[in-house]
Amino acid sequence: MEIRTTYFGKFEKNGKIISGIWCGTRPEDATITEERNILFPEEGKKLKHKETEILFDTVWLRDGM
Amino acid sequence: MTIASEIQRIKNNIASAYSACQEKGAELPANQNSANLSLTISNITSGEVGETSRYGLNFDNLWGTVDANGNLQFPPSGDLVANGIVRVDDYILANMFGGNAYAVTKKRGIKSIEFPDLTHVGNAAMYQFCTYTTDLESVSFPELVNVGQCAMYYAFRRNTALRTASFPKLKILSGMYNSLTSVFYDCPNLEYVNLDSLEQMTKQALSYAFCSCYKLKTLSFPSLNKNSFGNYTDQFNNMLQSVTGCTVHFPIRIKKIIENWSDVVAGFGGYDTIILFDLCAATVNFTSNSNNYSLYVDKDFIEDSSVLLPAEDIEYLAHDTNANKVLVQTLTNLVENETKNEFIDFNQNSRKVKITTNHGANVYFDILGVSINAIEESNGNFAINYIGNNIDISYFIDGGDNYTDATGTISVQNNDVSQNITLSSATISNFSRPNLSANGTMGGNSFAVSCDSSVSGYSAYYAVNGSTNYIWMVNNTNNICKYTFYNPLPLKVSQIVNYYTSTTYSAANFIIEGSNDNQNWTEIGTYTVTKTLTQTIPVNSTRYYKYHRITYKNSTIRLQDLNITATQKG
Repeated sequence: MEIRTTYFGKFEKNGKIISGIWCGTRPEDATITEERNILFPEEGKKLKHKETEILFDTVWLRDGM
Repeated sequence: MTIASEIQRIKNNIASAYSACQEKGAELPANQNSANLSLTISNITSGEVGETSRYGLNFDNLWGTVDANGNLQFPPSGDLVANGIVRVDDYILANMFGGNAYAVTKKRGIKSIEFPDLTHVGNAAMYQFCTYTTDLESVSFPELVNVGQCAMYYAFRRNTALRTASFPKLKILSGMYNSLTSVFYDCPNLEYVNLDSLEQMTKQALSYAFCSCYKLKTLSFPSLNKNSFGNYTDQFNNMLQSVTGCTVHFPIRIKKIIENWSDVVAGFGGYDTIILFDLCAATVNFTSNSNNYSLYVDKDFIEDSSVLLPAEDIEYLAHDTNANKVLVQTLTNLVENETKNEFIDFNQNSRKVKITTNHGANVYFDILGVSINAIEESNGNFAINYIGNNIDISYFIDGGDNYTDATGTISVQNNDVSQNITLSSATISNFSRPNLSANGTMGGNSFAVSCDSSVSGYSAYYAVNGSTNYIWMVNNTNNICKYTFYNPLPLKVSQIVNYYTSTTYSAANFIIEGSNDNQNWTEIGTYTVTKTLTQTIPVNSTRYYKYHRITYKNSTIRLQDLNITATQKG
């Protein structure tokens, strides 16, 4: 398992302000508006909830969880 | 029968035989007699295309050639051109070249595949169609519009030389699910994919579609729109698994729809995926003769004066609080990749929109989803000065603690408009939640509850039946569930307490909304609360609503009791 950070933000290109999402690497030339920590399973596997046994591809780690 | 007629009959047969040889691509001798006929036939070689090879391949391409020692060689690679095929129905071409192949990757004698006339591929019609090859370089479906359920599931799996895949008119991924799932799974040299016309996608339509396509660095979906996804959010599940550094371009008009999907936030399963909402967009530069105004597009507050917007007609709202003016206009003629300058002119003639009420404390107008506080110009007269498009405006009158609230709609046309609203006396009392023995009727004469998801036998009312022996249980894969409660007298909720069976089956994040018609919802707030068995959400609503909806951000909930602290007005 590993935790990767997804960054929400915007940047300017040719006079246009473009919204984007950067998954894993923080962009250098963008204004970041939000960061989320995402838990990934090992490749080819899924995350399994211990109690309910529901499978997830990824889980967003948030306060209180 | 005479000797002459017999001779003529034999001559005719010989001529027919030479004609048949010619059709097979044979080179005819100068003297087309019976003596040369056998040699002519023997000189017909396999691999000569002629008119009888309908689709561009011959048996040598598929089977291979034989060398001088009788050893079977790998086939020469030809071009498959499936002329004249307009429609392929269910299963017909499944497993045609390679199939599952048990992971044996080799030359299959096909260098390129084109279906120049194909418009429709039926359910599973091209499942594992051409797989595990080392010689296929390109696939092209220039007229293809619709593919059905599992139609191209693993269709081109593990083609190690494949570089381009073109579906320029493919518009609809139909059927129930998996139309293009894993279509180019493990094609490590795939670089170019054209899906420019893709508009409709059903469940998991592109899941794993480009898994392990290590050279794929860009994808674009310029034709996707607000109606592209139906009720599903998993169309792109693991679409880029094991792919590093791919940039995916979407139209800006779908940003609000997909930006919080778990697959999008996770980069479609890839590494360092970049997702940009930069297609089908125009830049709009806003200026105004007001120095103090707020700008909204599609309910979103716009901070920047220069903004990227969908290249289509779109309404915006500008609010000058000092001048008590609200302007609604339509941006037109927005052209993709071009810039438009829009001047917000608050000096235009305005129409007064007025609510006269006997006891209102505050009046709010809802215009394009934006709440505007009307100014009390004189005792009981609340107004805004409106500029722009004719429009229906919703209003809410807060009667305070002593009078009822009021809601309604006022139609703004070309002239000033006003409505008189008489509020009735009301009393405020503490709400005491009844215990239910059934969900009840929403909008009826008594307290009622409902939910969007529950395990059979664990209905919504079990959380409000006064007994902790029964629970409302949810077990889904949606990541959220919603619980609604209704009271005929509107409630102003200050606090909600959740009583869970276990913190495992609880939530930490909530959205609470209010409504007076169970259709139009206003967000009261979003809340993050530590998971505990007895969990208090400090709602602190400032308005009375008949309906309240709680969104629990979790897939599994076991709620013993829902306690509501509120006052009611009636």
